[in-house]
Amino acid sequence: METFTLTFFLSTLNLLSMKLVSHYLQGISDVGFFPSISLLIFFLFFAGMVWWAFKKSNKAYFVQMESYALDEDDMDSSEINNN
Amino acid sequence: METQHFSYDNKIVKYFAYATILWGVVGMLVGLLAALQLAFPVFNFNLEYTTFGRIRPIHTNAVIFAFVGNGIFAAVYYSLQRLLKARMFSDKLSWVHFWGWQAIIVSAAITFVLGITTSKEYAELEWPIDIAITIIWVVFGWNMFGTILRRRADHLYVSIWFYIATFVTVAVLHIGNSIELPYSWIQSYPVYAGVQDALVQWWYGHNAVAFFLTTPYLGLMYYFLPKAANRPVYSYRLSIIHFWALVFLYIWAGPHHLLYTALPDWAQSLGVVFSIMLIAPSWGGMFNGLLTLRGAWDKVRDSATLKFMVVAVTAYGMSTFEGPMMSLKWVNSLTHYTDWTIAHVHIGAMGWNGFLTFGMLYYLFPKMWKTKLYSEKLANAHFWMGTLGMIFYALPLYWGAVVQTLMWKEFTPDGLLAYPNFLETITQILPMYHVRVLGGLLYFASLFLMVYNLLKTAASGKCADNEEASAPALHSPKKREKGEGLHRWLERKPIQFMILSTVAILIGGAFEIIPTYLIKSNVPTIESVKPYTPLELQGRDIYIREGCNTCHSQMVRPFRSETERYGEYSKAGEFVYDHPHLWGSKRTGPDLARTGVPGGKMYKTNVWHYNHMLDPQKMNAQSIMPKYPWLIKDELDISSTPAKIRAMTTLGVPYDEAPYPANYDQVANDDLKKQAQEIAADLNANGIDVTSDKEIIALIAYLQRLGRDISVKE
Repeated sequence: METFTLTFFLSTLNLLSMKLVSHYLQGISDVGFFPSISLLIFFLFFAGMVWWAFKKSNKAYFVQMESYALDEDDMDSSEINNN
Repeated sequence: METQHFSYDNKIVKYFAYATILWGVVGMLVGLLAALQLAFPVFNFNLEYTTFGRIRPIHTNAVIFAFVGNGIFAAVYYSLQRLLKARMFSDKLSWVHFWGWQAIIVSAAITFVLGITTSKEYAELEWPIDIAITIIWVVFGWNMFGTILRRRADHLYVSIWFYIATFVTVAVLHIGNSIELPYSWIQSYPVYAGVQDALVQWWYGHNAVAFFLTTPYLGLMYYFLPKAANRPVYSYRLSIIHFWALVFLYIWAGPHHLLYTALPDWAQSLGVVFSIMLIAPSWGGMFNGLLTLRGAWDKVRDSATLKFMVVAVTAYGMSTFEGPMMSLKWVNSLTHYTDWTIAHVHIGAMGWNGFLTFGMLYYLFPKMWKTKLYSEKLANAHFWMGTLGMIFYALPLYWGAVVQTLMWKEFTPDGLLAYPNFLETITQILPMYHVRVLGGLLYFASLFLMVYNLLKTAASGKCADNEEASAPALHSPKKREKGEGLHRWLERKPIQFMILSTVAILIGGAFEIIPTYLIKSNVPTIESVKPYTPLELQGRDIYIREGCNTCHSQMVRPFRSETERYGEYSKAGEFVYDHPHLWGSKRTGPDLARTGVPGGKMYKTNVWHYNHMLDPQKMNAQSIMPKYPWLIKDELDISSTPAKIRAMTTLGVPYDEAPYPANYDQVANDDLKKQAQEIAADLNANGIDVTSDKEIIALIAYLQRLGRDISVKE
């Protein structure tokens, strides 16, 4: 839920701030900071996700999910156990 | 826990699989025709219905939406039921989806043949079909979410994340890009003009690649590759990271289709930065696919299915590296408008989408018909023939692209263009177009090995329309349990998952598009740019109908090699009345942005245009342009003028201000006739017997208008 709230908050803030500053932007031709903000947002989003994905407590669950698509009838049990 | 008995709906999967095969054959046959037309113009058949300008969108739409589209639905309907341990939500919705989609495909083909098109690439369909697509897409989503909500397995596997992202994003893109104002029961103008239209179009166009050709196929890969190899996915952690990074990043990258155009610089930079970053999540997917086969590579030797999948994933890796490279500005300055782009998309379409589809079908048929594949040998032959076809298709085009772009840019020691005649650069690479036909033919012919093999396979087994299954009832705690990770919780909360992925794509979309509206300085006003006259407007619609923009750009980039060849570079303010923009993405013929500038480098007389449209080969024996004799004899339909003027006025074109009289729509045809008579008189004076009411007159009027506004001396 934290990620959800955070992302939602960030996007609302973006839209809001864009509205607020738009009339200043109209006067200038250089709005090159748009890519920079975008990069920052993505970086924060990405860093948070990687941090979460590498938390130790998730490991067992990941191993279980890796075989999720394989039905029992498809499985060669010796193969699964060996990995 | 109580075990529940139910059945999987195999019949719908079977139908979607057959449709995939059928439309694959049709789409690639039309592609072969398009390739033939570029190599030998006689294959345009001198018919209005079969010129390259109309055939090319049939090919692209058939392959994307009919072949790959049905492939997506076959994969979703098969894997979703099994991953969720549930039958599809509603059989009725399934069949409405199936027949609705096929009806859309057929109506698309008919309208394109008739020249009914919006001209926007991969969104050429007109408004009634756009509405039908929206409805059928909602039916698909409804059916999918209904199934998800009635599932017996708690967790949503990674494939399903990709399906959800596909559903929401395609909906957003399709609706966003298709906002248009109808001027007749079948035709319309987009609400966006010029730079905005181009930006919205490529925000859509790029993400049609992302969310129609990529994300659903990644979902497909995550299900069918482990199944076919009987190996667990390499890393679930990697799949989480690359999924979110991919859906977040992809949407920003659209402007890389518009580098060095009149699009504002900041938007171009945004597109470049995010395109480069896209390599990471794309390759995350590729590695996850390929490494799933770790320790099982011996199986690849024996299984054609796995061979197809491995080459598919490798082609995906190649395309997703090549794409970002092509969005570097200096690389793009060389590759854009050339056949490099065509080769690039065919590695994606033939390699990634085509081969993954074939791999899936070779897996599905024996599985569903409960039998063995009829012939592994034939499948192997298909694989090698298809691979060779792909190589013979792409390599000549890459080669031709390099040759042509260097010819475009070469100067003599005196500072003049070394190849001032555009046609020379086409004639030079024509042999490459011939080899490309051979590559396409190989790939197309290899399809029939699959068709035969799969039909034989189906004949040797029996496909149960309803496959019996059982699973325990769903037990899903509402709240997050102790120790349950955030994503793990999210994976059993489809609605929250959908909202979050929607937010992820909307951020990028908002950043790209909203500023273009807010910032006036993005589209500087040029005083001398005036609305089109009614005759020019009609001519422009003929230009759109014939798909001229398929081969001719209207965008001179600010390079000396282009300003020397074409004239003054294009500016954002020139396009404010262009609903839709016609910038184009490929130069099979020269750019036309400055063709109406009197005394300009591209200027041609009315007589020249008349004769050229009638028979291009008479003017230049080497020309590969189709002939357009019907423009000479068909009368221009001027009954649509008032409705067109009214629609344009509603969209903000100032036909309702001075110097136009009030109710201009009612008198516009008077202006139209006057201008038509002037052009006809000029043609008559030069010995051409033509009346002023023909379509060719309107087209000439439009061509003579291009670039004229900013050449006016104040």
